[in-house]
Amino acid sequence: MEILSNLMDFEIIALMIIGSTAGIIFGSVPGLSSTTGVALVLPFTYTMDVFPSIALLLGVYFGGMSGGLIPAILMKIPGTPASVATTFDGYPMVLRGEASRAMGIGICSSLFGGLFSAFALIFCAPLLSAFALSFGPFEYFGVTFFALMIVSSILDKQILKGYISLGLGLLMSCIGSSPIDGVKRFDVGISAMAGGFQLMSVVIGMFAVAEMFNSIKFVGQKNNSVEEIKMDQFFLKFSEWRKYIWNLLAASVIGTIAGILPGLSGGPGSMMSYVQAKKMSKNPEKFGTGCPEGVIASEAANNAVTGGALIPLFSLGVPGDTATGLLMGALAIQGVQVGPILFQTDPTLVESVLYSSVLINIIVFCLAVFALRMFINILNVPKHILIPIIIVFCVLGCYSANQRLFDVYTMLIFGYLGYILDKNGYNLTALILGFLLGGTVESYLRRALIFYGSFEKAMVGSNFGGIFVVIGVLYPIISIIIDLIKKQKSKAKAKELA
Amino acid sequence: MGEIVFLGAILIIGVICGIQTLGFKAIPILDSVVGPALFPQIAIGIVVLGALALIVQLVMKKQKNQFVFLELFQGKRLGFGIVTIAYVLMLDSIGFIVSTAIFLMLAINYLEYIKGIQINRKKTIVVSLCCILFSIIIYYFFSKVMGIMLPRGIVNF
Repeated sequence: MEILSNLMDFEIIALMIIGSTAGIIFGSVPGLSSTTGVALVLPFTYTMDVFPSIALLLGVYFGGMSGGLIPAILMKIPGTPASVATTFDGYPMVLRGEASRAMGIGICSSLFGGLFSAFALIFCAPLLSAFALSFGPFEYFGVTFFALMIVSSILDKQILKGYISLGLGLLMSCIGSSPIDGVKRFDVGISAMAGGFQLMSVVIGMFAVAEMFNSIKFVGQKNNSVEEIKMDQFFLKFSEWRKYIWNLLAASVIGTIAGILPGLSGGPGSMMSYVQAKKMSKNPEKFGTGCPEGVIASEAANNAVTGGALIPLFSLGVPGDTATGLLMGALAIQGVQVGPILFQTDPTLVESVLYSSVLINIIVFCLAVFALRMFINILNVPKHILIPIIIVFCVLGCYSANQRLFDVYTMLIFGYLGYILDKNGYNLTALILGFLLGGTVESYLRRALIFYGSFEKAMVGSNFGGIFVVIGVLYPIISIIIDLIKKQKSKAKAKELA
Repeated sequence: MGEIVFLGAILIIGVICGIQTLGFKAIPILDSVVGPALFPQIAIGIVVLGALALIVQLVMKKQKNQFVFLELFQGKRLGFGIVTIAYVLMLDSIGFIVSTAIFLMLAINYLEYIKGIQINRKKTIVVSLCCILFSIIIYYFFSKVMGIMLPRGIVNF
């Protein structure tokens, strides 16, 4: 009863709405992620009570994760790293004149992913935390290594180009200080390079800036204007829910697990989900051309991360990502120590927070539907005005993260590089995934080898990390063999027909 | 041929980076097993092996694909690229408001010219005013609401 009165309090609901609105704005501005939002709103909570402050911060966190889909779909600018995969199919849908539908699918999937992880948080927190506890550094290495290797499954016919892209992404992640010992690598004497490339510079450059260079050729052509928003296209129909349910569930599970495991948050989570959805699909060739399953996979997964990241926070006192780390800090300031003991000392607070995550997801959904009408008008702006404005937002997105111009310069270089790589069939998804996960893979590999003493000992001594490594090694080999057999079969068929 | 040159450049970068990794010394107290060189060497290995295999494949292939590179520095894209590079480089010296306003004015007029829209004086003034207003609003939104100080430049504006 006390939980219900907590949740139905006018002040709490108002704070959730304010937080979610701020979160959607932060998420929709490139470079300002939900983490930035939580950090900026944090000082306002110092004078509040515990639960109102958490309600506000959770609103920002959840809203920020959802807001990223707006520029990702409408302008091909990932608002946050977690929405990179949304651009792959969301933007082609817009180009096809299906902006309402793309946004609708994205927002509905976000709600599904968010609610799934919120219920996972309520019902399975202790169980899932125990699962996370069984992960040592070699298990983390195994999982991330496996994730990189399954990239081969999305590389289609250009397997070699995919691996070159993956290698380039991994190499780019090595620039700057090394994990564990902080040795400077490949900084070519430039002090700004010592910190490595900023993620948003790489992502915005490779996707948004490259796309703007490509869009120049469309200047003068008629816009895919959205005269009116068709709400019947916006919400998923019952038959569509049934059609996409496995896709939604798989994406939500992957996202929740990515949230639980530190270092894997929204970006890798949505990428892995996208790859898996493509693998599961009956029409994998449609991915990247405006396929609804692609948007579903990315958006359901990145929103499922939110609940997932709260699971280790509340059950173990270990934050799943930076934003939940800030939440932990906010609670510490209020004198609340999160962890298993909190379930005994203040169960009302814990349960109020757990149930509020469901409510906030619904609020974010309603706000996103409302905001859609405003944001979708962007598409009515003529391309010759929109392209320069997008470039300005790209500059803002890169500059805002670290407030240094070096990131803006590198964004432009990555824009040119992204254009050349993309036009020549090199896989940008593999490159970004390599860059995103490179640091995590290296860090876990080194920690595991230091712990076990050698690779062989780690393979034998770890719980199940070795299994992931073996599957990761075998997966591309088997994929290539299957591909070769398929090619030989089709050749034989062609000969027979001839 | 263009792609082979591109892959050749990647190979050279890979070899240079590979040589550099030999200078990455481990700090024994922190890590005496792996060191900071192993992972970059694995990444370089993937790039170099992939590039070599692709070069062999391209040489053996009878039908050559066109390598897209020069189109980025020709026609419409060249002009827009120059304006964008100039904008990014001017941010530090003349600040966000001035450089953004100039960039928007130049880029919009250039793209209008490409589009074939006739540019008249009245329209240019309206566009210019909108660009200045947009730059100022964005600047104040970021500095006052978000607390992010955008470059002010030597004009301190």
